[in-house]
Amino acid sequence: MFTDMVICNSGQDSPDAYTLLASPNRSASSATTALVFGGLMFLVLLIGIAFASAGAWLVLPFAGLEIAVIAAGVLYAHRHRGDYERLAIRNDALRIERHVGERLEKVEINRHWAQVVLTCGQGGHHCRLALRSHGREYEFGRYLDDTQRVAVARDLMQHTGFDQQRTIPRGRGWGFSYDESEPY
Amino acid sequence: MSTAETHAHEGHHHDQPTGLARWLFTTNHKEIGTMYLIFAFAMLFIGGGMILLVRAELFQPGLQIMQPEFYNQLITLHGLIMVFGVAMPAATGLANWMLPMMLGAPDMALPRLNNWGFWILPPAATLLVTPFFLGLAGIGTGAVDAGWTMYAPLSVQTGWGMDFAIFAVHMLGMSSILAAINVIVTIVNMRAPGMTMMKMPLFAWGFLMTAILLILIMPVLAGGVTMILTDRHFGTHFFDAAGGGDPVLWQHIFWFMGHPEVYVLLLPIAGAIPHVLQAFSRKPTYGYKAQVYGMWAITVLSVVVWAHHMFTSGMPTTAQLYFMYSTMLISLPLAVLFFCWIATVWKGSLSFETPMLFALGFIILFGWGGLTGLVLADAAADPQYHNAYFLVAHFHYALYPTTILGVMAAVYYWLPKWTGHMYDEKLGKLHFWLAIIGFNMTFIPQFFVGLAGMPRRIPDYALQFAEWNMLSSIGAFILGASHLVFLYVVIKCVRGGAKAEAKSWEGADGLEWTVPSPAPLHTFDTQPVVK
Repeated sequence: MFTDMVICNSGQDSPDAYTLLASPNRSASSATTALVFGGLMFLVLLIGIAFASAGAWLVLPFAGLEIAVIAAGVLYAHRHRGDYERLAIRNDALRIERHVGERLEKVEINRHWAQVVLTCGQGGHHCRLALRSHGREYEFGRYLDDTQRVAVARDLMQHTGFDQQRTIPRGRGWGFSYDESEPY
Repeated sequence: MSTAETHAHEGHHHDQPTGLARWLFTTNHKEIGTMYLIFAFAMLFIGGGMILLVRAELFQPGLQIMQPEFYNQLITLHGLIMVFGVAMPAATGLANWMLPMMLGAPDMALPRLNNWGFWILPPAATLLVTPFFLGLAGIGTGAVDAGWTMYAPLSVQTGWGMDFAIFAVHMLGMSSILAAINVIVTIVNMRAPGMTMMKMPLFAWGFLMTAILLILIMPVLAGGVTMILTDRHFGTHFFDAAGGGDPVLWQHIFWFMGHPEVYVLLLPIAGAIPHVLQAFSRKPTYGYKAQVYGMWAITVLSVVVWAHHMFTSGMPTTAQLYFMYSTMLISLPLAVLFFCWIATVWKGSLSFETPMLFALGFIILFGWGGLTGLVLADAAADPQYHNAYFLVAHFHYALYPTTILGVMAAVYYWLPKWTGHMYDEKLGKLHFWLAIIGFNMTFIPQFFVGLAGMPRRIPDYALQFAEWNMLSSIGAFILGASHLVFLYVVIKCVRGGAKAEAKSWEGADGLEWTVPSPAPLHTFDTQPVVK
């Protein structure tokens, strides 16, 4: 998912040592969505009512059904408008926040015990970024693309205390080759 | 809206299904686009094969190889298959393949809905043609035979093929609505940063208009065919004059859907053609804003002109005047599009590769379709031509250039991007010339016999029309053969050929040409930004 990503470092806009906020790219505002839905609903209902008044009342239920399907889509979009992932490091704490729909998940781990794990597929594509601590892994970066995951992994290594073993592929932008056995 | 869907999509990165499961469960826009295009092409052979049987029957006067009942089934299925099984899926296939790439989006906004939208189609098509094959085996009364317009009361009284057709139309409509919702959400919500609506490719504008039209017209058709169903089996009398109903009401319902349907088929191609013209004229598209506003005007006007199809059914003079003038009015925005297309080509550095030939073929032949449409739009003149072969020739000049020549222009244009190989140019040109010669040989004679008074929808005709019909039938078989050449070109191109570059055409422009050929399964490594 392409992302609007904001990274703040200490001394800029945040008291945290490091903050990353990532949310999906959306070109439509709430107003645009409402306008599109409202316009379509109005026209579909107008046509349905016109045919119903001419005797073809069975058009109306189908118009209503169609509006319901579109409304479900709009509602779904609206619920996910505020989706984001946030990663913040302050003092010893590393907090990961994930907001999906109406669900908010928060995890806090000790930054000195956090290990950055980045695994990439063939050709450096399909990277997965996670933070590991005390035997558990917390995936991060679902709204980032592979380039961004690699960049964020590098940033995080500067801020976490754990020694990285194998995670970052040797990078030359997007043409890098990745050998999992080769330590970084 | 896209988040959860995209997660599912991202899940496929690590665990890509293979074999049949890959195609059944895929949410990737390119794979779904490919399936749409293959489906449309397969249906083209079925619908085309049926009409070749019809043309074989019409090769000579008299009943040669089939009875009128069977002829009616073939004609009806040909119309329904070509509109709902070929033209619309082909356009949706193009939308699936190209919209995300051209908009800088990772996929369609609702990928799982996209998968459902496609997989509704094969069962719907099967439902439509099953009674036909059962009829051949001596089971039942055969396929729907009321014409693709399914006029009442014939559609209320005919055999069980109509029931199959009603459910098939419901499913096809549902598929169209799902595709339309997906297209609208993708265009509105998933454009790359910087790509304002007025920086969007014209192709996306065409599809946006098409999707809006589909959402407006499809519930009307769904309601209408359900009313036929209840008239047939549940004792209602919506279309039965004896019970207080009105058969002409069905005509209003059908053409309220049927006329915008022409523009549903036209607008995506009207959006694609400027890209082709620009590439092979090596000039920017002329009149971007004029084309956008032209498409808007066509969309609005297309839903208020439907009854010009019903001048011979009878209507008040004032209504005739309204529908005549509003129909003629629609030629103005169309003329704006034509002007912009010609101005794009004007004094360009032209080359005539296959996509350009098909695009020019589209412009010229669709122009003929439009001009002959003006004749039919005249309420006073229409009764002379309506229900004659002139009408058949007219709407084939309107629909064939759009749904086949226009789609072929787009397919040849983007084929290197899809396959990673350049197609065989000589064979592509052979395909074009066979199609053009075959098409004109088929339908120009139909103008003549129509003007001379030959009625449509009959398996037999007066001896005076024999020569033109013979020529028309030969043309139809040439036209059919041209599609075999296309099939060979595509197979050859998929299997190999000269390597296509990322920007396969010198004059091509757009985000899709910034990614390698063939386009990777997941198109963009990084979010493109439009300036």
